[in-house]
Amino acid sequence: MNELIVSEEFLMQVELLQTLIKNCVAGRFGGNHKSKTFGSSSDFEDYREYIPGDDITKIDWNAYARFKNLYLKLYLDERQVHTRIYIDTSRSMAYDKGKKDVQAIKLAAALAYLSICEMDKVSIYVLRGNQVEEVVTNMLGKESYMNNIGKLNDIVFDGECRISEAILPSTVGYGDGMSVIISDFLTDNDYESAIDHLASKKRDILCIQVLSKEEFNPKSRGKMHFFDCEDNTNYYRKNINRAIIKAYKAALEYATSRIRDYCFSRGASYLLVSAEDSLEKIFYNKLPELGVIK
Amino acid sequence: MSFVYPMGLLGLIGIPILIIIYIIINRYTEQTVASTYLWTLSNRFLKKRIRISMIGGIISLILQIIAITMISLAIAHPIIVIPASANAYCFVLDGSGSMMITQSGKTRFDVAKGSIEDVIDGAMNGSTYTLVFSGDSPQTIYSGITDKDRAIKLLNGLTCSHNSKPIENALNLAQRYFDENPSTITYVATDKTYTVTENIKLINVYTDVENYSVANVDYTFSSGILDITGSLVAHERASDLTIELYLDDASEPYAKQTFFVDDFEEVPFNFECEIADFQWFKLSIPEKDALMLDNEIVVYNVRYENISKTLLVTDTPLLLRAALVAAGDSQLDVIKTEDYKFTTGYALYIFEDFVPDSLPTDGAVWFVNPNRTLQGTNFNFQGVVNSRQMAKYSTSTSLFIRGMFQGVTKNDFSLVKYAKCGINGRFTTLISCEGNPILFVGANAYGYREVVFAFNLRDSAMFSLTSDFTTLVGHLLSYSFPSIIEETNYDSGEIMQINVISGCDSIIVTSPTGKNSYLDTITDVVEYELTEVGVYTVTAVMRNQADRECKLFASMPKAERTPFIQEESIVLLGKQEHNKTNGLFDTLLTIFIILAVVAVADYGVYCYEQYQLR
Repeated sequence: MNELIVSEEFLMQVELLQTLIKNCVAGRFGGNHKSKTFGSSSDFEDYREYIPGDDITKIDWNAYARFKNLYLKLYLDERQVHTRIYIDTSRSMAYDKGKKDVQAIKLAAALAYLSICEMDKVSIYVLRGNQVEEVVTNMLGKESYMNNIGKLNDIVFDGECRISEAILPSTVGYGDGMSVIISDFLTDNDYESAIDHLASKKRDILCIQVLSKEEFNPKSRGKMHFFDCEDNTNYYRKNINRAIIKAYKAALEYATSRIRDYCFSRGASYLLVSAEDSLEKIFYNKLPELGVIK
Repeated sequence: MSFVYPMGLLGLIGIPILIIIYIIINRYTEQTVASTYLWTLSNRFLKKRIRISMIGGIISLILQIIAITMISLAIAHPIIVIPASANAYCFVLDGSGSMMITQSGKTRFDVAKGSIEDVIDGAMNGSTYTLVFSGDSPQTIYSGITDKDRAIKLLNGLTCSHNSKPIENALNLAQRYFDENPSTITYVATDKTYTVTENIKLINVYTDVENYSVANVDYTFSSGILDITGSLVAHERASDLTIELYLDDASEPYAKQTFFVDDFEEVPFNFECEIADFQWFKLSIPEKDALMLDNEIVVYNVRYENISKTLLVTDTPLLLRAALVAAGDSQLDVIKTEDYKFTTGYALYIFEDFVPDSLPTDGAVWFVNPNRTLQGTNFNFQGVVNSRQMAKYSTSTSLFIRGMFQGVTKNDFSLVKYAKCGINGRFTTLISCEGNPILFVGANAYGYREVVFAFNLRDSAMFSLTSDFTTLVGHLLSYSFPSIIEETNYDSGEIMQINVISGCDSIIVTSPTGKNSYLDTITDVVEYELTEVGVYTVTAVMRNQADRECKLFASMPKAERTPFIQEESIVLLGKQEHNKTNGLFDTLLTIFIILAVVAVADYGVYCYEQYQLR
């Protein structure tokens, strides 16, 4: 690990947590996640009648002695999943004193470590323009994590980000783990297609919306002329007063509910965090409440 | 419109400055934000703004421009001329004693002043005001002034007099102003009720109140009996009244009587007192009424007030002492000739059969039967002459001689002998014998009066044992130290006469309110107008002897005790015109009201804006 983004104490605590993967239908053998298919783990799941061709070593002879029929003991399969984390690197994530970029990197690093601890593979990507760029791919094991996680510090937040246009053409896997998108989602651009696409690929989806304190509760008052940091042609010019602030709060509620409701409708998880929120609060309170980890 | 201070309009320069400041302050602050997405989205959630809020930003600017304009105008003090709207006012204010009657805690005079003040307050600016005050004397307090505040201030500075001067004199002054400007609106503020008024608006402050008074007081004092008469009057309402008599310095009444007094009827009273002598007496009605000043009268004994100390130096005092006491000289000291040394402190020195070594320097001197010449006496002793003829009274018809012999029968009398004296021209001979003056009066070298009896009183029994002698001694006493005042009872408003006695340096009159007046002593008699009700003190400051002081009392004039006048008319001659002059509307108050409203509105807008920016 070139540089510690997240404190070691926190990572040690994260080891105690476990992600809950709902759509684990694929993946490699050797992971810690229980698959919906039957396999060779030690966790008994069910019985079924013997069919010729089945492995006779899995016949339950005690059941045969009792019922005079051949039954097979079925055990759950355990799979290794591939966690893919997408970080929005548009300029709006890093502008001003919002610290959204730092929060996004911390979240990515912590979620990656959580997956690493569960023997999963982890890939971290950045969304830049309409492309997905790899930062770290197929990270497996703590040693690999420590060697590669420092690359997150090299991520440059600049330019625009069109989430759907970037993710749709990329390789996202199928039914083999969780896809995490970390962004402020403050855009008119389409991000719903990306969620639909990931859902269609049987991926567990977690959308984390990171907003700064100023975006939650703007302090600017009076006659203001706001320019968009990503596009100077976008501006907002008004006398910021009580009525405007009230309308802003309504707009914020609208924007967050838009993505929340969409995620809900697609079976995806959605988490709204502040750039000032601590990781402890997110990992011990918000994510467990959401059912993403336990 | 005109401006009192046109330079104040320079304050309007503040308006463009304010606009510039407003533009600078209200510039939009440019700021780059992470995303304008939410701000732009918020437009969808903005409620439709009402039209007034569209100009909300410039409301405060408009209000502040109005405020600057109002401040500039307030400094410039604009005055608007309103054609033919102002009047000329002339007020005649009755300041007679009855105006001091109190009603509801305020005197009628105060009520009258308040009524005039109301007229002035309500008059259009630019009106002129003239005030004629009928006080001790009719006088114009101000004439044709336009300053309301000054007019009211001078009006309030007036005090009511205690006398009774006819208001007609003040109306003569008002007539003059009416003649000058027939459009003058004349107000007469008085408590008298006039049935006819012409060209006059009457401000009547009369009200029916209880008022009692003591009137017609007189007294006689002889043979130790003081007989006092007078009457009680209850104006407006019948009442049971008590009259109390106080003598000299007694704190308790000597006597008192109670009468039922019908309204507007005089009920007489009488007190008879057996007393050796008295200095003064006081008659008082203890019942409270609207005018207490006429409930009390103090009467001073004239004779007592003019008494002076006399020193009689003689070995045979019998005749002269009897005559002096009979003449009213009660402060008489008698010593023998052998006991006499040069003495001061007396108003009169009488030397009988004795001439001192030096002449007294601080009082009048009488010589009876002088036996030698003394320097400074202005006569010389030429020896004793046996008389062969009768002594004869002067037959001069001069006022002085007639005054000295008033009440004297002037019967010639015989003398055994007399002292022949040579006199200079400063003496007047009253009685002579064989062509030689034997009773003459004049002045000595110190300016004090001198009386010489150039015969032995015991040698002229035909004279000195008669009532003529006593009467003549009384006149000579008056001549030696003349009375300062001849009367001790006056009505307020009357003029009293004060005799300037010899050796008097100055005369001070102290009024009941403690006001001192210094009178001239050039003439023999000076006059002083009594303008207050109460006890006056007249002090004669003497050159070489103790000051002489006497008191007198001035009563409320009878006419002022019953001010109810009917069937009298007051008129201003001429035809009333109604030409008005240009009035002035002082906009200052209006400007300040607008300014206050604008300031409150601006503050309200500011508070609203701050509330909006929270």
